[in-house]
Amino acid sequence: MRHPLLLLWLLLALEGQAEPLTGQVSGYHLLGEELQALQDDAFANPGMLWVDRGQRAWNSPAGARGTSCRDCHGGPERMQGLAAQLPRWNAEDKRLENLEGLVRNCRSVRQRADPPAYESDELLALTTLIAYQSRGLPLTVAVDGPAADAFAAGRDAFARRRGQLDLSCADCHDRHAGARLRGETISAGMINGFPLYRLTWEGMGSRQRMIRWCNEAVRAEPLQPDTAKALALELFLAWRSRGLELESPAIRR
Amino acid sequence: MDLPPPAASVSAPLLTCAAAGRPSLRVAATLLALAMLLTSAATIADCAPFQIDGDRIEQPLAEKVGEAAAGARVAADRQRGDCVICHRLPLPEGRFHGNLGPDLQAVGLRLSPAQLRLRVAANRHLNPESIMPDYCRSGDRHRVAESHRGQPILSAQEIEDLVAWLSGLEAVEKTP
Ligand code: HEC
Ligand code: HEC
Repeated sequence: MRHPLLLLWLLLALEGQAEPLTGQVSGYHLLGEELQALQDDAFANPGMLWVDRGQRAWNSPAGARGTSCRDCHGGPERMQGLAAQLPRWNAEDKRLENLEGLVRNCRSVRQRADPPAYESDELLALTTLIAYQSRGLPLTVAVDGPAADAFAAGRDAFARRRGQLDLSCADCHDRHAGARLRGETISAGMINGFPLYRLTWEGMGSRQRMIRWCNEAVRAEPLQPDTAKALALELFLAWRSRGLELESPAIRR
Repeated sequence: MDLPPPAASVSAPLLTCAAAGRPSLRVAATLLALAMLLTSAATIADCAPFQIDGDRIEQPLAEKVGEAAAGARVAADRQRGDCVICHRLPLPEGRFHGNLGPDLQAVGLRLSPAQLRLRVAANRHLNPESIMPDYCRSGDRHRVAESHRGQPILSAQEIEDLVAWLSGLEAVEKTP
């Protein structure tokens, strides 16, 4: 009984990196030891700078009412668990909401301040601080009930070939995960690390920045970050990444 | 394997290279192409008309004979061919080649120019599931960025240059 299994195991072990990446595999596993250590080290991880900035922003009064996040929510630790469950269905507005949308909404509606721009340091500081509270928690999003239609749309968007190069997200992150695109190993396309620090960006970025980057790579029209289509794709990506521990602020190449 | 062309690109066989040598037919083909541009919102403009025979495109796509050195530049150029993203090729950039597609260092021993031409121009005619894009086609694409809409990835001349270069590749250099 045991021998065939042992042989299979040996074969897989010998195959090593050539093994395709299937299922939920965090991009962390493609980093190499040094970058993994960087991600794990709270003092050296460059993403922690945004967490620190977020702390300050959290406590600073802003807007016409002169209120801070703390005035309404207490400490940022009260946000534990939130980022791992986003995007989620907002029954009142009948649309999906993600982390960036929630923060911008609080800024404009509750604080009466201008909402920080997408991908601005100000927004990334707050979103990274909030995501950091869920570090280590598994991603779980609701994709049934009122979110079911958006989920189906996101799944279709992932599979649909697009852009001048006519490639789908699935072409790379499903069918060819583990292969090399120029020097870069293609990951399974998980989103458990965001907001994260990418060496190629020399900076932080949200899930939607990654989607934009991949769309640009195939010369496709950008998906505006707060549209139903973009949020549906994000929901599908979160579901694909289900069960993975949230790693923000992660490091990626 | 000889699959029919995908339904969305029926325009290509209409404007085949059979017309290339005869001026009157060429004018007719041009008029037809113009009429199609005007009537259909989805612009279908391949890099050139072409005719597929089995797994080959026999007729060159451009009038000027392909030039190997220019082909090597197209293959390396990130804004044009960027073939090293998926293939190993004898180029300085080839050190950081991808491996989504087969090693092409000796592809000239395996494939004739006519076979190479089809694989670069419209590889998905052979394998619709293939990840390798059709470099001469432009029709039936979803959400193409405005700056590239209605245009094929490469021009007919660039593809001819690539074919000239690839058909001369006959030696495999081992990774050190
Ligand atoms: C031509 C290949 C290609 C296509 C098509 C593509 N990507 Fe990517 N993607 C990459 C590469 C290369 C990276 C960077 C390496 C990595 O993390 O996988 C990346 C990274 C990512 C990541 C980050 C993974 C992590 O661990 O942080 C996500 C999420 C992602 N892509 C989603 C998408 C989505 C959504 C689409 C479709 C809109 C898409 N990709 C289309 C090549 C591609
Ligand atoms: C996104 C990945 C990708 C890109 C970019 C790409 N190819 Fe390919 N190519 C492939 C794959 C995969 C195959 C294997 C056959 C198939 O899938 O149809 C292939 C097959 C080929 C073949 C046939 C090889 C054989 O031995 O049968 C040739 C020739 C070729 N490619 C040339 C090129 C050239 C020239 C370029 C750039 C202009 C290019 N490819 C860009 C993925 C790619």
